[in-house]
Order: sequence, then C-alpha cells, then structure tokens
Amino acid sequence: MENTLSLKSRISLFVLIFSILLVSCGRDNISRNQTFTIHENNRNWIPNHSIYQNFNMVDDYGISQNFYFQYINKYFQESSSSVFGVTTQTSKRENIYVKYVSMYNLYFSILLVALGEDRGDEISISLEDLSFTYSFKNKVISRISFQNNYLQNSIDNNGGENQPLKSTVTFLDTLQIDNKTYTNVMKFQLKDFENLVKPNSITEIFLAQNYGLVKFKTKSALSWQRKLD
Amino acid sequence: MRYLSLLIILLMLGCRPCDPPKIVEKDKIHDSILNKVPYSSDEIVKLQHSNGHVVNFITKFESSFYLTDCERYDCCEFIYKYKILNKTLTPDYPIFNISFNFSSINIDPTLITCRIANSEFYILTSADNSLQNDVLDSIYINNKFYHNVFRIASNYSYHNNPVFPDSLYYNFEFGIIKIKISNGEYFVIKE
Repeated sequence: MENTLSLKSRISLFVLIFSILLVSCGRDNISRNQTFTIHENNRNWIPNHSIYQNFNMVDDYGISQNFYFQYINKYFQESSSSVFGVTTQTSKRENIYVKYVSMYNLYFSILLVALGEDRGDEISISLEDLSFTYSFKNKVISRISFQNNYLQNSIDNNGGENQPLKSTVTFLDTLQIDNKTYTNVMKFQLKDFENLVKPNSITEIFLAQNYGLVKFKTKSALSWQRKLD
Repeated sequence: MRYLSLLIILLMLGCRPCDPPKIVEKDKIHDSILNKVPYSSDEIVKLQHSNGHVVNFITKFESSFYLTDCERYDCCEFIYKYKILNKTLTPDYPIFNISFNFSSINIDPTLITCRIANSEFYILTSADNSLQNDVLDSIYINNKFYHNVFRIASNYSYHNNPVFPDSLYYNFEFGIIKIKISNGEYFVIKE
C-alpha cells in the first residue's frame, strides 16, 4: 500500500514537473517553427512574369500549338508534429505552381517545393501523361509517373515502388532553337516504362530557366519547339 | 399514446414512398440524322494541314445508354432511357481528336455537336439549317469543288485559350471539308 502510494505520488510529481516545464517554457520554446523557402537560383525554373503569357510550340511539319497560361499559385504549405498533444515542430514549405493548357488539350505544369535543409528543393514537371520530380540537392530523379503508373527512386522512402530509375535529367549550358539561344536548360529523357511507351508518347522534355517549356519530343523523334512571337 | 399513434399514421400517409417510375425508351437516333456525318466505322479520314502535312484519322463509333434523373420533389411517373452516340476521329499523330455527338433526347433532335480540339460546333441537320449556318455554294480545295458547304462558326473555346478552331466547313456528302484555326492555320480534306 505504501509502495503504491509512493508510485502514485511519484507519477503525480512527474506530471506536475512536466506541466510546470511546459508552462514555464512557453509554446514558442517547445515547438520549433521553421520556414523553408525556395533557393533563389531554383526560382528561375519558373517562367518570368513577363513570359507567363501564352506561348507557341511548332512541330517539325510547321503545325503550331498555343499554350495558354492558366494560373500561378504561390503559397506556404504548413505541417506540424506533436508529442502527447503538444506541438513540437511546425514547418512552412514554400510552393510555387504554374499551369498551362494547349489548344490541343495538352497540360503542362511546373511545381517547385522547398523541402528544407536536409532534402533541399524539388521540381516536378508534368506534360500530358508524363511527369517527373527532380531533387536539386540529391541530383536525382525522385519520382516518375507515366499514364498513371508510378516509379520511385530507392533513396526516397515515402512509399511507392522502389527501384533504380533509368530515366535521366541532364543540364545543358545552351540550347539553340530557331535563332534563339536558351541558357541553363534541363533535359529529361524517359527510359522507363518501355512496354507502355508508344511512338506518339512524349519521351523528352526540355525546360529553360526563365522560359519554361522550350522543346519536347516523342518516341518517334517528332519534336515541338518554342516559337518566338 | 393515442395522439402519438395518430401522429405516426399521419406521417406515414404524408411520406408515402414513391411508386417506381416507368422507364420510357427514347433511345432511337434516326439513320437520317446519323448519315449526316458520312463516315463509317474504321474508315481512314485524311486532313491536310496548311503547311502540307497529312494527318490520318481513324473513325470509331461508340454508344452508351443512360437514364434521366427524376428532378422533381414529388414522385416521377416516368424516367427516360436515352442514347448518346459518338463518332470519333482519332489521329495517328499527336494532335486533336474530332468527335460528333448525337443524343436521342436533344431538345432539337436534328442537332449534332462536333468537338474539335478546344472548340465546339453545332451542325443543324433540319431542312431550314440555312437559317443558322452560312451556306457556301461551293468551295475549291485541292483541285476540286465541294458544293453546299456550311460555314459554321465557333465562339467558344475551352480553357479560354485565345487560339482555337473558329470555323468548320462541312457538308453532308463529305463531312469535314475544312477546319480553320484562329491563328491562320487550317486543315482541309485530302481525298
């Protein structure tokens, strides 16, 4: 009986001390507030405000396709973690999302996300039924989707099928299109989903800093290139 | 207790469940209307772009049946079974689909909706279609005259894209004669 009381007293004492600690520290001291913003260099992958407007792509046969700017969304995504109902960490991650749709109903979008010091920034590009996510810090493609099928790089442990990806992202210093030289160009090449890819499937995407989409190619080597007005 | 029973009886009378509505079949689309889109299934339709490239479209027909909703607050005596038939032209090239949509319960059963890329056109098939469609006596394309061609305008573009197919040239004998796009490009029939 004495032992039981003693145990109860000890628990009560512990709760009391813990409560005093919580009160005395204040919420701000216990919870860590972190805000992650996108690195300045990476912001250049979002087209310039003056070029957000519609743009034209022309194929090898001179058939043009106008892409219409739908919207841009800049926001901070909030998340928090807690222990025993007490918030211990809150974070705000900056997101920038820009979306276009073409006259032939091709959707194109860019999503930039700040994931913090450990994981760095990520960019996700979508064009028609192909999309990929590239980690600037790890210099790898973390996810690919094609026709609603998903693959995930084994270093990313957020679920999904883990296996090495064959697709590549490379960076070109310059890319010449129609007498215009684009600098700092990201080139994505789809090498996965070989059994699903058809001749008209898009397999290469070129993205230039400050301009966005400047070129894409199908498996049959047909290409669409940016046309300057 | 007596009042409660009375209340329950009144409620039951007031909330009498509906009898199941009768299904009325309104799923016939006249051949005379279907033939106004003169393509047969698995046919190859060729359209040539203004810069010369020829795109092959393959035709497919698909029909589905639906029931109308009962939109009244009280009971519906009838609901209607109707049919939607699509004649779709799918390209062998990464460009737009073309689809002709027929509905057996259109307010105007003689109306065919044609969707091309991000535009929609309404083809009137009734005898007095000249009231709404601009009729050209003839149009000369690829060394051939096409007669009695409707020039149908579209003022609507999905997603508000400022570039869209704005005119459809069409007749009941050959179907699509020409698609004009607002940026000056066009596609014409290639026989």
